[in-house]
Amino acid sequence: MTDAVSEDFLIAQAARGDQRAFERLYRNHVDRVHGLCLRMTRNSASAEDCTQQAFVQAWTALPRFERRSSFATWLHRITVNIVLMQRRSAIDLVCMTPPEELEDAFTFDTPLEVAEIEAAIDTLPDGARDVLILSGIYGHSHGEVARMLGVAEGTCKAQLHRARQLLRERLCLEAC
Amino acid sequence: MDINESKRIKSLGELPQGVAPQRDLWPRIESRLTPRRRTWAVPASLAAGLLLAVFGFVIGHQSRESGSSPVLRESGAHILAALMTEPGYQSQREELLSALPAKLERLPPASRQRVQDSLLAIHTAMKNIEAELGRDSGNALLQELLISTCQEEMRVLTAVGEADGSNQEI
Repeated sequence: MTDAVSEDFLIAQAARGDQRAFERLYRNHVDRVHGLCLRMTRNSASAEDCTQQAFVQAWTALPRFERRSSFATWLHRITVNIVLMQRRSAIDLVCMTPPEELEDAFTFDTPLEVAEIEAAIDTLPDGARDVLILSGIYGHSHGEVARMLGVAEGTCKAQLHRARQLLRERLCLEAC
Repeated sequence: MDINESKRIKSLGELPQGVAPQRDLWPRIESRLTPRRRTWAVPASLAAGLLLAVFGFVIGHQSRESGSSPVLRESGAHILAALMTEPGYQSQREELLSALPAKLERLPPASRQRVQDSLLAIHTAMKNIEAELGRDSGNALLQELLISTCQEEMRVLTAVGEADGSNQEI
């Protein structure tokens, strides 16, 4: 029911203090934010906690939202920041050399079950998993992912390359 | 992880992006939101008029529900109708709207454009909310949003109406 009401309008209203407009924004975006939190934290309670925190922080920061990116991307940036802070450990995103080439989409030769893929993603190390989730599932560009995680774009590409290799191994797509 | 289960897919991009939380998180979020001071204020007389209109709508709606006129129950646009038929609100709105073209002419181009863009967005939103209310007339959230949208329209119209005409920025 919310699509018809302009998101720009809701953002402007919420920035002025209209909590009903902000609730509409929440309802439009909560599933994606929660999905991201759930994948990054791998824990239901933490995911709910981070989701709540992300929206509370978004409410506070909304008057300063400058629309240089979409609202969804901005909200994801806040969310990622909260998850990383909650994780309280430096993710293993030390400087890495990017691969020569990096394919855009990660596809499987034969269809696999969603649950199987999600389980394999869950087993990846934090840094590689974060990049894979943000880039491969949520479609953020390497630049956006790098900004969200606070790393160089090359490092982000290298992590994605690593994540894909690990995921292939976990899914037994090679040498199995 | 509580994400959909047996569906088979061929790429990561097909994984569902959204995963609904198991419970509604809004009540807890709402309780943690610090109220923000609005950057505008609706004139007190107008605010009172709006309140009266809403009150009138609620009373009217209740009496219709308890009476014999269920046909009218469908339309969430009654709220707007109630607002529009509230004498103070309607006359003030009409007055401001009729003076709008002349007032706009006297504004600096940037301000004029901003006002026109704002009003366009507001009127589009009003139409869309009314349409949504037509489908979901009992939705309190939409009703509140419609009221605040009407208030927003009046804020813009009032600001333009109060501009002194000397190429004043809004």
